[in-house]
Amino acid sequence: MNAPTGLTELVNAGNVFFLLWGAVLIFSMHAGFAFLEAGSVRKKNIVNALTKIPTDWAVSTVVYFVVGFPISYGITFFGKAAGLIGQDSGYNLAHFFFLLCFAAVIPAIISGGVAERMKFGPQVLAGAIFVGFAYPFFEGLVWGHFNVLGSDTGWLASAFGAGFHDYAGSVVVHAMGGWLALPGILLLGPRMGRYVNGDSRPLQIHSVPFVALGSWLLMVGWFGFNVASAATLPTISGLVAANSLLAMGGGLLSAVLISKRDSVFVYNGALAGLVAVCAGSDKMHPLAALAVGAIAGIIFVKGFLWANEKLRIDDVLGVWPLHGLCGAWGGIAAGIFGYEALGGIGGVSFMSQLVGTVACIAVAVTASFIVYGIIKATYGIRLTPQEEMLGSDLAIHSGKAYPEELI
Amino acid sequence: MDTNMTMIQCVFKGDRLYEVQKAMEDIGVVGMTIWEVKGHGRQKGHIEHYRGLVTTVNLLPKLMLEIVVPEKDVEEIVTALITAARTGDIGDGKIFLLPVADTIRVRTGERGPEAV
Repeated sequence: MNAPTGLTELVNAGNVFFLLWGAVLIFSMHAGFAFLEAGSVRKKNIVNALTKIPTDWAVSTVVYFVVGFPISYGITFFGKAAGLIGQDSGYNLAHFFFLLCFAAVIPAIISGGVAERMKFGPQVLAGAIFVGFAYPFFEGLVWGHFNVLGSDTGWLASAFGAGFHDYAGSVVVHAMGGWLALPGILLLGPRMGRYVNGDSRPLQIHSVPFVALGSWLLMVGWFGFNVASAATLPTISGLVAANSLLAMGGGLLSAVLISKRDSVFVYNGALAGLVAVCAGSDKMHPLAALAVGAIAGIIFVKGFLWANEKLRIDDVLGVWPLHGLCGAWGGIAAGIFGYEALGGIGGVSFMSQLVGTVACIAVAVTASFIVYGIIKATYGIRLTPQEEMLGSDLAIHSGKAYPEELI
Repeated sequence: MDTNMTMIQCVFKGDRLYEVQKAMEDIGVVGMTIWEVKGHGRQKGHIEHYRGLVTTVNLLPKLMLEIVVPEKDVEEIVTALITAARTGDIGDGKIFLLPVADTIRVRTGERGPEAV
């Protein structure tokens, strides 16, 4: 083996290894989604939460392999296996795994909003349609091969000087997930007993420790999400890691300050900061990231109370404020703090960020109303009142979380 | 003066706790005991399965309200309980009425209706 060939192989292998490192970290976030939801529901719906998330993951794997990834990037995997590895250690397959981890976040986000009352089949089917078509369509506009929103030569870039910039998915992943969830939550309606005769009646969550565990898994895994978005080893950036840390700290601390140290808000505040920093994590100064995260923490705490108490939207985990609102804020914030005048690296356009974010919301809300609307009108999306009272664990899975306790 | 007292025991579905508590509050019942109980009536239980192994669960979790009230208030309270606890489905529960010999407040030693 001559030296240049060996070096090329090492670079290829390094890129694949780097992406797989990120992918496995994000994969662990799905355990986080599962436990965050399992802890945030009542005891009779734990098994359902813990079964939905891996089922959605497996369905996403198949759908994204067959149609989703090919739509976004124009790359298919239907040739012979030897050809799939190619000359670069199978980089495309590693890239598929990495981006699948992003795509599969979509049904995991929605799952938390529609928890405790949705039928199993429609939840899985809607997730498959979003991961197979709606998400890859918008992903392709920003990161993929459609030359429209994201690229340096696309339509937005020629209109406003810079394309829509979303480094690690504040908008493409999180806002998309949160705004896909909202119509589903509205079409389902609130859980039985949540709002009675005009009174708001909080339905207690069953496990703060599970919420904490889920949030910790998400926080740790998030560094794969953001840092590995470099996609190749030579472009790795310590700035992305530092910005993610500071935004997470900002979101957590603002939640501590404005929520009277409410533990569930504190954990969600950290996640709010991370959602908001994704888009501009490669463009901002760490202190700007701290501010972006702190504002996101406030948006989540205030937004959750506003949505659930004032608007009477029964969003069980607060996925619309967390991913929808904080994700949109992250997209716009990259167009503010990315500018050199504010200590950023530059190469962003506020108008492009605004247009890209609004476009995402429009795509998500439209796709969601169509998909959930059709399923609701044909098969139905909600458990019967008897099933809901019995709990989705027994109604859907014929088993509860702690079988030994049964007598 | 009517000094007879009645204990009302009401087994009901846990999901109706808020309605039941609210109904008692509205009617002016000041104290209550709530038990977490398991049992079954004519409805029997259901089948659960774990890793393919089937278990028949005969005893279902319910709540039981226990209050002691003057006899003259019983009918009003029973009517309110039925309205609050009823879902119309099987397993809505039962109400039992028991005579009470006496009531004693531990702190002061008072007896009778004033001690309730």
